[in-house]
Amino acid sequence: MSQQLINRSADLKQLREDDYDIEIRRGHLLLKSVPYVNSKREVRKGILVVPLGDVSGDVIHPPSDHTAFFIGGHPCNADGSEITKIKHSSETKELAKGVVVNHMFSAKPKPEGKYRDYHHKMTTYVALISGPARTIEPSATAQTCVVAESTDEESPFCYPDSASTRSGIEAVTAKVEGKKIAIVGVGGTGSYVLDLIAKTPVQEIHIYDGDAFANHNAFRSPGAAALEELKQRPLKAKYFGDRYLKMHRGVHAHDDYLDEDNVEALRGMDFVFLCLDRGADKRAILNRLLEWGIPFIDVGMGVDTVGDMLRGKLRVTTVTPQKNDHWPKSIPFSEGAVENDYSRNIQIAELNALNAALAVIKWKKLCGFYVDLEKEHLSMYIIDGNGIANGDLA
Amino acid sequence: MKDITIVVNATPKTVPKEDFTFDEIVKLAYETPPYGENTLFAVSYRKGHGHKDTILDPGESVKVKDGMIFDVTATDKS
Repeated sequence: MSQQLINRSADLKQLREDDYDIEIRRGHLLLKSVPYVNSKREVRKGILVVPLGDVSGDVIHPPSDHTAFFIGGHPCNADGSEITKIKHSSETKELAKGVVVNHMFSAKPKPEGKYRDYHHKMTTYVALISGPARTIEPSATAQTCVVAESTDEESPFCYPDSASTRSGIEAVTAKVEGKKIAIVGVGGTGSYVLDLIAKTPVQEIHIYDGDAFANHNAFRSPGAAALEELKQRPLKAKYFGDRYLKMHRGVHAHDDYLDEDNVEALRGMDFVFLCLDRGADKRAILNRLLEWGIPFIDVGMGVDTVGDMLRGKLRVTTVTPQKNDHWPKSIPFSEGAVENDYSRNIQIAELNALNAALAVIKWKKLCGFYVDLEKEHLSMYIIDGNGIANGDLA
Repeated sequence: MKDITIVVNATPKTVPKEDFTFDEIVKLAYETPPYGENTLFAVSYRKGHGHKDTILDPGESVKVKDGMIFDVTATDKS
């Protein structure tokens, strides 16, 4: 509720974006970690408190007056004398449950005479209070970049996505909300797909993989595995599940291989990323997805040596109920992990990452997040030419 | 007609004709195609008659010209 109020009020949102540690508590706006100088000329932190005005629905009206309250000692100048510009009265009183203040301030902004909005009001008071603190401690600031825990129960994130807020693209980002995504295989490419999808507000992310996470996997997955973690020989699904649950509440890790016996688990999915190299299982899964009309993307790469250098390509095949006749000529069902004299399982982290990024970008196009004029359903990034070939245009 | 030099998997190949099928391009890339018999190859080319990066589908044919570049791999690793 608090998060929604903040999001819908431009001035409160701006305070958050400016990295002020704000909280709405029982109809009052609290701005915490405000540095001030006390009577002993020490720099301390206090809390600025302002009652929120009327709320119409979920939009807050501008401040009704110019007064404010403070929790802490009375703010002073650098010499320890009270700042008379703001001083009004000092009385400890309870404005609301959990909001007990010690001082009241009164400072009219000049030349306007009244505060335009809460951003104007709070930043003006913070400047008056913290100015002297900065002459003693130059780095003192109320802009403490504290990350608030997401109190929005509907959000799948553990903390708010302020990246979308800051750049004003929440409406676009919302296009992927509520969706249930499955990632079959969290090996090289699948783990990067997870890394990217976990940063979107989809509702659920189901990852399926029965493999263990070994040393070589660390060199083609996002982030940096710790030696201690590798020594545990965790299963990939658990390793990645634990990691990404730190950011996205909707990660569900399944440490089984998906095959024809348990593919039923995919029935409720909105979209599936096939990132597995187990051909027989992929065939079983793919047939069911076609039957159930669930759109999916299959990725795959091929990297070979030429002399002492590498070349090859990354492929993204997209299948939807509207376009599902083109996939047999591009989706392989070989057992990719098998190594033989001719085929080495060469995968490099940046190639896995790029393959995953191309797949996620295409999925977002299907969601209406990015413009898609080409409408390709097969694309290949060619390493030695740095070009992308598109085919199977819808 | 004179020979044409194309590039297949970063390796120059001199060929005596213009028209190639998908399978013939794969053979140019791998004299003995590796992997199993059922390996699905992904073939793309550029700097051909159409210039831009283009996918060659299995079963299709293409007219080659000097300097045309082909890329042939399986794409079954993830």
